[in-house]
Amino acid sequence: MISGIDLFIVIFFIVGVFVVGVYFKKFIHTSEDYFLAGRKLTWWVIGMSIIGTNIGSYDYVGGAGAAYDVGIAQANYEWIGAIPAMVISALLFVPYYWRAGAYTVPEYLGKRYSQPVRVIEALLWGSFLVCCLAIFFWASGLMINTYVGWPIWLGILITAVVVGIYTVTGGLTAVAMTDVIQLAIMLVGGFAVAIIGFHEVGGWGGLVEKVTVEHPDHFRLFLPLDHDTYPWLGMILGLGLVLSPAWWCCHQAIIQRTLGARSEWDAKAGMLSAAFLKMLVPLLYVLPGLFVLALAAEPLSDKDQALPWAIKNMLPAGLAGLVFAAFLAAIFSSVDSTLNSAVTIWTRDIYQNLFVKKAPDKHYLNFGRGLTMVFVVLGALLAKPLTTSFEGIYMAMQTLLTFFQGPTLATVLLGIMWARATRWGGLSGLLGGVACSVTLHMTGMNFLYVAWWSFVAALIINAIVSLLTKPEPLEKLRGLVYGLVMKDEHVQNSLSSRVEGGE
Amino acid sequence: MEDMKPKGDSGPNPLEVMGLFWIALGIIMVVAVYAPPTMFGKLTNLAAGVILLAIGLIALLKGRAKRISGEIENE
Repeated sequence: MISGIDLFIVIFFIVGVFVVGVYFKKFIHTSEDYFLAGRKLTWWVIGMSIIGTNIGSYDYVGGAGAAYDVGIAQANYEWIGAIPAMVISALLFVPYYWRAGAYTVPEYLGKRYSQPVRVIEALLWGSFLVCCLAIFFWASGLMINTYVGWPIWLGILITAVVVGIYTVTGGLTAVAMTDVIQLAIMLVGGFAVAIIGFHEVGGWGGLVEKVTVEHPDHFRLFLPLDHDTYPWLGMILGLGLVLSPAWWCCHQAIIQRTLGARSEWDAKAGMLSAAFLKMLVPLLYVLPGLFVLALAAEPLSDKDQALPWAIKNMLPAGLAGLVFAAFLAAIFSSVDSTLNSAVTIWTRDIYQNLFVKKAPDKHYLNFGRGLTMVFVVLGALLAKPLTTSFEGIYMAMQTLLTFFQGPTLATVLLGIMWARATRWGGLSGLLGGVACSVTLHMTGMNFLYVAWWSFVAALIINAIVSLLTKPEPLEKLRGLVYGLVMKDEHVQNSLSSRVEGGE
Repeated sequence: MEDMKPKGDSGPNPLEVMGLFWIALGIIMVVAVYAPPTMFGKLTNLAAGVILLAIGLIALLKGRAKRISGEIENE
């Protein structure tokens, strides 16, 4: 499907990312280097890496398809569904994770609540991330097959070899730095598509005019309450208040970059700069979906064909290769981040926490590298069976995520904001919230409302059980809870002296 | 990220490596100007190539400046 120059650009991108990724091997000497980039990441690397990780192939293909179908309401997934939560994450959650010196979100919960909470969270997130890995591998194979014509197994093999080798050798450093490279390519490709699209449709006015003739609702940001997929109330309650904060405040692949920051300031600034970049993301796929709606003579039979149509019919040779490289960049950055995060959780929260507690640091570094290779092979082998065994595997994964995202957010939120929350409150809130979401899902409720009510249930159960059980000792909570920092005389004195010193 | 560089390592730092990658990709995009038949297509390839070249050059020069200042500090 793509021309010679496009193929050359794609091959250059694959080889180049591999070489750059492997270059970072020389920075890895300890397990902290491997899992947290030696805690030396700067704010701009963190910000770009977070966005690179967040944008996956589904955002491109599925997001453009959804924009073609429902219009700019799809952009809410990036705006109301991300930016407020990212600001909250930067100012409220990230500082406590970072100060706790944790490698993972479950590790923070273990320090704040108890071992069972840590292990349950680690098993939920660890299993979810491994399943995601298999889906990403399949998506990469399909994408390469669609655009280049190579067999699916070859596409999976290329992704597994390229991403697997640089993640095994370079750890989070390689993952974060290749994410930076990849995001730059995605943004340049996205801007170029926007320029061509606006040229073709006659600017913003031309786009609105052409689209609204047959689709008057496509430029409405909020859709009616009875809309099947995006009811406005569900968007605000489920997406804005629960799913989005849960994703941006508790998702290991997102948070891990901030834990690798060289300072608390870099951690917070990294998340805030990612929020700024997030405003530009709809440019990458919402606009192309609308361009196709305005330009295609016949309606598309499959909405997910919107982006392939745009590449085939709108982009010149050369730029088509760059945009395809941006697709690959999106999937590579998701695969490497998911892989690294899954390995960090299984190594730190399961292997080191439960089985081999006091081995030399080199042991955990080698175990992490070995497990990365195992997960690469496992993900590649499970890619087809896992994806083809279930109808709509992506929706299945989204549903699975809905089961525990609300309860996780409630547990972390009360853990940080309320010193009175106890180990028993945390455990019962988490389990009760998951039970609530599974039950509501079985009634056929929209997943946005399931997320909201499971969050509320986890919050209430945690609060009631905490009030009925013995408070946690203050020493245990120091540095982990918001209220205690405000009341901590030592911390307040230190802050006052810094202010007086003009810092 | 430049402070991540192992001590005594005189090779390129991360910014320089990333800069080189973007510059190479930018050059390829500029060369790809020959491919599209329309003038607008050629201009779009040229614009994308120039932007990548600019990003790459900034990264390369900033990385080089950091490396040189680091070497002077070490001396």
